[in-house]
Amino acid sequence: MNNKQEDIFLEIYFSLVLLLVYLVGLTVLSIISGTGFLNVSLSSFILESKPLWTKFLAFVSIASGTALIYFMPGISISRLIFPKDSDVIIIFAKGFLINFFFFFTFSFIYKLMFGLIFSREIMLFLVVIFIFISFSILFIKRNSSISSCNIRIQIAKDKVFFFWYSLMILLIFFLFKEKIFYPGFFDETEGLKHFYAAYSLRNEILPTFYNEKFTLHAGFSFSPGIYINMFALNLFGIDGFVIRLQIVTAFIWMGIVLKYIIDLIMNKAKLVANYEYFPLLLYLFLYFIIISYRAGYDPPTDLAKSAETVLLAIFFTAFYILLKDDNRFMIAAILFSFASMVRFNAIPVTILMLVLFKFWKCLLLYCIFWVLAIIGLHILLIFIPGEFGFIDMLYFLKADMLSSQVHNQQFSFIFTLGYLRNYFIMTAGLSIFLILGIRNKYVRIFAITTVLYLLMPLKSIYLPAHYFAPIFFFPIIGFYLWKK
Amino acid sequence: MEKVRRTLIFCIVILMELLCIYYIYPKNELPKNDPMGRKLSRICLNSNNLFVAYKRAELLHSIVGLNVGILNIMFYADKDSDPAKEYILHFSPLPEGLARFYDLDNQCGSEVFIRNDINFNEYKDTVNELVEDYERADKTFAIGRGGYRP
Repeated sequence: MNNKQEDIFLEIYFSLVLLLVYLVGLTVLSIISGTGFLNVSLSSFILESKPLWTKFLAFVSIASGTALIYFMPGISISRLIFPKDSDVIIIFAKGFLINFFFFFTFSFIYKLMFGLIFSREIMLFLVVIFIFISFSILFIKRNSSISSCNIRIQIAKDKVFFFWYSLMILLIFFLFKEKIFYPGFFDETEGLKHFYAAYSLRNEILPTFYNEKFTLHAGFSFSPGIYINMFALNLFGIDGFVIRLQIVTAFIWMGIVLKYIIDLIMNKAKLVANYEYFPLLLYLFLYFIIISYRAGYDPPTDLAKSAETVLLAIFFTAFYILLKDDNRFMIAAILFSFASMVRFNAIPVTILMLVLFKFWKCLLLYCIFWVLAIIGLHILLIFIPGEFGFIDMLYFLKADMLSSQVHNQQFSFIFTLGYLRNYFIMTAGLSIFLILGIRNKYVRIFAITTVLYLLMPLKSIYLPAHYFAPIFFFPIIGFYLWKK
Repeated sequence: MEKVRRTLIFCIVILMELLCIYYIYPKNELPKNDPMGRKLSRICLNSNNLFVAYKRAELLHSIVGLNVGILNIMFYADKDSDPAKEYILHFSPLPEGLARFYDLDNQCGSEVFIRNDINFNEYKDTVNELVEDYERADKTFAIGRGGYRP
């Protein structure tokens, strides 16, 4: 084996270590709680007054399990089968897709062959199989070329940033542990729906949606998320926090992607000193407080309500891919289309961004995808009774942008002020730079996009934070652009 | 000059972000109240047995610190049981059912997973206690209409 192959061998081996950590953690905690290996509830260890080391063990088990569901050992396979990739973000994105594809396919096959019941031991079995498949692929590809991107070295390059970022994430876990690990749900909205759908999926081929018709809005765009939730539900047990794990993972991913976008814009970090990442870290922290506590709903809602974090993560990944390599417009267009399905008011924002940055090929493909999606959904409509399709989609788009659901709400000067006030609180004064830095071409792009978005009247002055999702982080990108 | 300007802007950004975090961050114990001072008015407890649901309610009580009472937790072994009149019981088609309980007075719902193999009589006393607790508790905490808002 050469150096690269040894590197990948270590990566896959690391997946095995993660699995071991997860198993040891679960076994020890199940012995302590006396519930048995398959029934131990990890969240109760974090929230209840238990010894500190058990909390740590539960946290580490959850972290290892999450890594196994999302990235490991998918990234190693990604490096083996896409030897040309040299970018960490792209390798991780592909790794995620490979992981999803594997678990999705094999759980599907398992259900078809051995019956519909899916549980923790079967999920563990699949993880083990996946790790062994990775070793086999490494063995098969031992003589062919492998991506030379060394993830450890890449991360070591930005060790100062990742150190502070990890501290911030740990702080978030500590401060918001009740929000993240709460075993139930604070209200009856999205979190519970996702939970119900994922729970039903354990024993069915397609998820049963919670007390609601199968709509494009609630169903289709979240389907991959539901499958991931189902895997996590099997791995971590029937517990409400599993649904929020996806949002927290998307949040962590989004921070990293934003960092790399800024590096790319600022000519590979040469123009950004380490201390200059603090606005980004503080802004991410601020974002998390907002989605946790100021979602704009009465009563305050579950963290799972802010599923648009997933949208932002996808949106910025697509944006990064386009900036990095214009030729990957096809992947970017798919990701943009998917992000727009999560929240329909992302459609005009995406189109605007693509026009202003002159990504014409991506724009064309994006529009084609939407047309295909509409046709596809109409074909599906023949087979699945329910209310979704083009008209339904337009209705949600209109409701998202023009407050059609609240008839007595008038667009007025006061309304606009209330709206702007909310936005400026959220962007923590960063919008100033969209004004100050207007001479810069790119800042102008972000400023125009933000202002046009703000001109769309929304439902009320108590805006849910997630309506801002499609433009939430534009000011921070604008801030770094202004410095260029 | 440009450097001074940049540093100044950088400091303003950091300051405004810190101010914003200070303004938004909830001052009291975390989930007790949100920054707008609104109280949590709804709980949903999911569990595959009533005992766990009860434990979680206790946990919620200890975390939130509100006298939430235990809202709408009832347990029925089968469909023929006579539900208390203010509740409507829906059984979902799942084998291990998810039952929805609606409190018509308050338009609230709560959910409990039901396992068909649990003997209701084992938990009868606990359920009665729960209901009494709920009745004793300040019902205003239970008032609140959430519903789905896109």
